[in-house]
Amino acid sequence: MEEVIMDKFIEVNIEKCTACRICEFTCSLHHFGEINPAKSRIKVHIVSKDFFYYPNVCQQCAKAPCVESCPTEALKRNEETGAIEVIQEDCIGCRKCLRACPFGAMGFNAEEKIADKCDLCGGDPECVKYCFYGALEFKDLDRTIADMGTAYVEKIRDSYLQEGIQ
Amino acid sequence: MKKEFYGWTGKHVRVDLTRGEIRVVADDPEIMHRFLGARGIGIKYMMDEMDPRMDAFEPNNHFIVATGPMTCMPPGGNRTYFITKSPLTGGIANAGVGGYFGAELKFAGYDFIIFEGKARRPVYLWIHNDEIVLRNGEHLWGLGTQDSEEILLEETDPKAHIAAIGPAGENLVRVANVITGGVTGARAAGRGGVGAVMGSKNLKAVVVRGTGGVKLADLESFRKHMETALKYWENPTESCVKGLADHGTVMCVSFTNGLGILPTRNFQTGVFEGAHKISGETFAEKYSVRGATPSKACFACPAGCARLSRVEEPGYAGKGEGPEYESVASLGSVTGVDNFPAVIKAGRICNDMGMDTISTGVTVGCAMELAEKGYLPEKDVGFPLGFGDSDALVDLVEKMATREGFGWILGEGSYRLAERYGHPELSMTVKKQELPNYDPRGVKGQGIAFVTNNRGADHCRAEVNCSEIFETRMLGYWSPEKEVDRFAIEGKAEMAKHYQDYCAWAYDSLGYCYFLLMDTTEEDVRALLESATGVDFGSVEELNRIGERIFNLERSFNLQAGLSARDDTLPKRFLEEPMPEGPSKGQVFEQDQLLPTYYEVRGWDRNGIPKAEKLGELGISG
Repeated sequence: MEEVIMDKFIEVNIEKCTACRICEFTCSLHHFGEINPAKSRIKVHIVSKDFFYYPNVCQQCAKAPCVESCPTEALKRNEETGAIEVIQEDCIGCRKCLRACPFGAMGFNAEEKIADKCDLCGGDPECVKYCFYGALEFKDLDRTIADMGTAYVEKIRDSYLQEGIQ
Repeated sequence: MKKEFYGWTGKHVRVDLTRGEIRVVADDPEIMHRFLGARGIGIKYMMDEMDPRMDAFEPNNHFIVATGPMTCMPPGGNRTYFITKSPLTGGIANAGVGGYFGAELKFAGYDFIIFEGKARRPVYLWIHNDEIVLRNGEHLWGLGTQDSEEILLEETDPKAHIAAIGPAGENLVRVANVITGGVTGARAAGRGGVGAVMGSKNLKAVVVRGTGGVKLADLESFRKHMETALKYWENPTESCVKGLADHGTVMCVSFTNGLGILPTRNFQTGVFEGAHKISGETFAEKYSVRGATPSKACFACPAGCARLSRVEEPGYAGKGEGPEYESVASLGSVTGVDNFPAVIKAGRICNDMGMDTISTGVTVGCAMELAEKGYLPEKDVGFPLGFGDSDALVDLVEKMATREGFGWILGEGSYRLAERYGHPELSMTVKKQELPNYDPRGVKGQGIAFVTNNRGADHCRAEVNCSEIFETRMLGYWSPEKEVDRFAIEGKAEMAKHYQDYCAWAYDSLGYCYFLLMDTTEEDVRALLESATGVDFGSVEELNRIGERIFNLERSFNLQAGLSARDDTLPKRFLEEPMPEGPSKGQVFEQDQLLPTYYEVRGWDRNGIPKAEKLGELGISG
């Protein structure tokens, strides 16, 4: 089997999340035609007493435990978007994938009795579009990692130069 | 008429606390179309089902928790209203709150809940979709809203949302409120003592978890109009809307002080020399967990005006949501206290005890003036009391909630306090409800709204200052080319009526937060409502007519309850004492000119009673 490497993912910047839950609103509206946070594929966890707000969403893992756990091969990566998608007619609703996901980001459609997950809206995620303060960003992972490497090296360089001058 | 409901869920809950009976009832489409939801629905059922003359604490007083058709929809549709007869004013109370509670109630499948009767022992209502039960709440009685919140989340569902009272509500403090989210997530349904009515019914909390959906009539059209509304937010007017997101409402301290209308030392002046110590700038620098950035939002709100505070100073340490401008001014400048950690702590105590910060601060300020003027004996308070005493502030706020010692009379609110000591004119109230923090001598349109709002002195039921001092496009009075003179009285009665009627439908009955409508046009709100509900309301004029209907029905309720034109007045301080200093110096509030014009504009007679033809035109009876 050819190895597939994900390229784009939704990055969560928790310090910018205000817990407005517009992502839940827009996700459920887009995918189910109703306002229903319980069906939303992104869910904001709110722990008020710790001032902690975390939008939890599928990370489209490269070596995805959900895909590996599926006994009917009902989870497949969309080569174009990089999103792991549920093949509805193949899913038997066993929920092994829900238990396999270390992020708890896999969902379950109680009406259809099948797994339900983020498909990146076909490559242009609605939740990111409506996130006002950049808590959600749609990023190219390879580039993100490359940028992180560059930023790190620049930091080292700066302190090296600084010390050199002194 | 269509059976299927869009925007509304189409159902509500009736709870008889005396009998312990719970019924789910279908909404009446005609009522929903004529009164929309939330505040409108509240007054409709209050007027139809209860006697306005009844005492607020009688078991048969209704207690209505209601959402609107736009609660759970952007931008900023998240409001829930608590409607009942007020133990503070003796008239109608309708306290609104943001947060998540209302949206959750709709996801559970209900537009509103009507409570009547009184439970024999403390209880809480637990709604989990179709399962609705009254549960024992004795173990929660006496606990603050923070502890209650944490215990209830454990007992029910960690994703539930809670509206609870604290000890102030239990102790029938007349300015007790309802808190959602505890102290660290606090949003308050603040005004009119609605928490005390909940307490009188032995109802500690309403806890909701809903996993259903709300349907929209025309998805494509709704999305289009939502994007139009959100566009205003992407390019907001600088002074107001952008400031809200970056600094929260607390930014207004410097602003109103700069205009000379920041109520100081029980409204004796509008300039506070310690304003910079309790300002939004100081807050962002020292106490805001996220600095000057959008920190915390209510459901479906792009603004995020709520603040998260952490105080480390010994004696005042703690964390909580807030403080808001109104809390900082009432507990700060009104009491002359510029010790910010003490002001923030007093606000946290209010949120934990479940007590309105505005009324609490103004009541303490009133006690301070009574004491300084020698009308309130030191032995009654227990120590020498005066303005600027931060220890006294924290001490009295605590006692007010528990009714301990001098707190017994403080818990009655400032009017009853000042009356007891022989000087009711020193109570800064209209209809016995404490003024919010815009000195009416410097904002005349806002002032006439204070005088005539049905729930007593209050800014939220007509934010005329959005045109008078804040540069927002709301209702089209202000524009970059056309300033509004805040001292002028010409046209202000008309402006106040327009704001009151608009407010009655667009925010208070639809469930929108008015901050989010500051730059949105009336036409946009109508388009959002019609695409969500699928109901053709005709025009903005027709919707303003619904607002007028709600407003007049509330007025009728108040008149039947025993209020009259005599209660339409600001304290004589504002009418007789010119503002002593600052940018509003020399101004008085010209009530004798504004009020008769207002009655006329309203179609009321000179005693403030709606004329028969006005009521007929609105399709209601007085």
